Amino acid sequence: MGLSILTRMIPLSRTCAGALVLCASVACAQSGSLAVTVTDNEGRAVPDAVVVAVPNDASAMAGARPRAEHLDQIDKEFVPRVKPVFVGSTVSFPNKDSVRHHVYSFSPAKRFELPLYAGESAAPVLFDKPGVVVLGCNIHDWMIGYIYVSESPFFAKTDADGRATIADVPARAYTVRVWHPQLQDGEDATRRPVDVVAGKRADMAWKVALKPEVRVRRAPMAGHGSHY
Amino acid sequence: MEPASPLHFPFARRNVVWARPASTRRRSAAASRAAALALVCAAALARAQTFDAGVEIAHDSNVTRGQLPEDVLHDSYVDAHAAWTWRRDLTDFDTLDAGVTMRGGQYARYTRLSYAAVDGTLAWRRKLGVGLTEPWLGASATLSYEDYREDVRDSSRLELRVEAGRRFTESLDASIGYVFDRRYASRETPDLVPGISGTVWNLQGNAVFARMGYAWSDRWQSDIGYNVRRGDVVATTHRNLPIFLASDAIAESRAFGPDFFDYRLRGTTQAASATLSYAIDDRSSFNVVYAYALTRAAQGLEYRSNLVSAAWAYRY
Repeated sequence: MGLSILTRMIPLSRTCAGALVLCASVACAQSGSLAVTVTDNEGRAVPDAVVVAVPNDASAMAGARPRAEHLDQIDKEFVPRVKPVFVGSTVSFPNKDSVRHHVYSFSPAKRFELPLYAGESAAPVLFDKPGVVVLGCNIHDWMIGYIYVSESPFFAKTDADGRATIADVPARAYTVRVWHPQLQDGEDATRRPVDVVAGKRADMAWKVALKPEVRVRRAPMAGHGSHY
Repeated sequence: MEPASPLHFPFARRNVVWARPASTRRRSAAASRAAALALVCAAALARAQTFDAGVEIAHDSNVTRGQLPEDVLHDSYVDAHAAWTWRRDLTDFDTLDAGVTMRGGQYARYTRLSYAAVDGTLAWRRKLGVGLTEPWLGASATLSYEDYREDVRDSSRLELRVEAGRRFTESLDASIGYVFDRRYASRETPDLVPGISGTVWNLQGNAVFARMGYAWSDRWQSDIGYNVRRGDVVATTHRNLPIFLASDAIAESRAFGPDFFDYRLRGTTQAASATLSYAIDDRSSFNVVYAYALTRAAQGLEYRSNLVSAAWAYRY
């Protein structure tokens, strides 16, 4: 009898698998991708730029799920320096250094503080409001990191070559914008409309003006004793 | 040594015996015990470690701290240091650092000024809140032992420092503070002049200071500092009656040639410094430092020095 159940289940599992493949194919056939390049005014690639595609029709975001993310502290730096997350995600902050860190943010999108801790003892933080969250460490002034909380699940971050790809974007109209920690003219100035066509890739390029980076210098200075 | 100068004053001729009385031996032993204790404490507190190193080439326009042209001698030197620091977090806002530094300097012309030294430091720091611009307080105690080529300069040092500071922006920070310094000569020198101590290198002073740093870019940073110290200073000169009258300790000096004497005086030193620093990377920098010091003492005595140096600093 067990064998007969098994023999009936095999075609059933094949059917389920086939249905899944069919659904995925349909979904792929109904989605496209966005390939983005970001450069500065001198034509140099801009890494760590966050590209966000917001659908004009909010129903495209139905079913999007927040995720559990993490942002490490390695060699007394936040790694990665820029972390985009979908609104509603939690982010944990594992400390992989031999020193303790005291992570904090005063940004309106999320104010929080993780008092001195080592390892993975700090509880994850929920980021439930869109916006930019600037992170610091109360011990190491030069440590700075950014969490970009996106209201859209369709986002990506540029790599060292200034390129990013947002895959599996449902075919419809979007407004795409770019953010970077040193962006001079503001995120709103970068908005552009795009129509994503099923099965096709839309190429977009931005040229942005960047301000000089302002952060506390980490390198030591030479001290000098008294000569009296 | 027969006096060659018309300024003849009754130096007693005697055989100089470099004795180390019991009190000096006790101070040296205490300094050794304190350094050993600092090491034990550092090992016990080992939770984190920072390593600092640096090499400097410098030129001092007045190593003798002389006033008259015939007494003002200049020299260049190279010095280097390596320091290890362990940190313990006492609370979310208080840290305690224990450190050991080894340093040394080699002079080019007046090699008897060359030295090797070891320091032990305990430093407490408290940040008064959370955030980049919250002020901080700090206090530290440093115990050092310095061994010079000219033995009479060998000494233990104690430095107590309190400091308060604040970062105003990512680029601008400043601090002010107070320093008490005490130098204990390792050996007592017999009196050269009856009634006037021969142990010149017992020194004490109090200073206040202020400094400010500004980062012009992610690579370039400058620092300026100002320091006023009131206390014992040592001028090394040929026989000099005004200095002699103002001194409370006198000894022969062999560091600069014949007929030089170390005179200890009470004086006020004002010093200003400026540093320009270039960050080679996140761990190291190249620095150019200029410092000017003006000391005024009794009897209208005044001496100045200019110090220029180039230094490489490293931290891991």
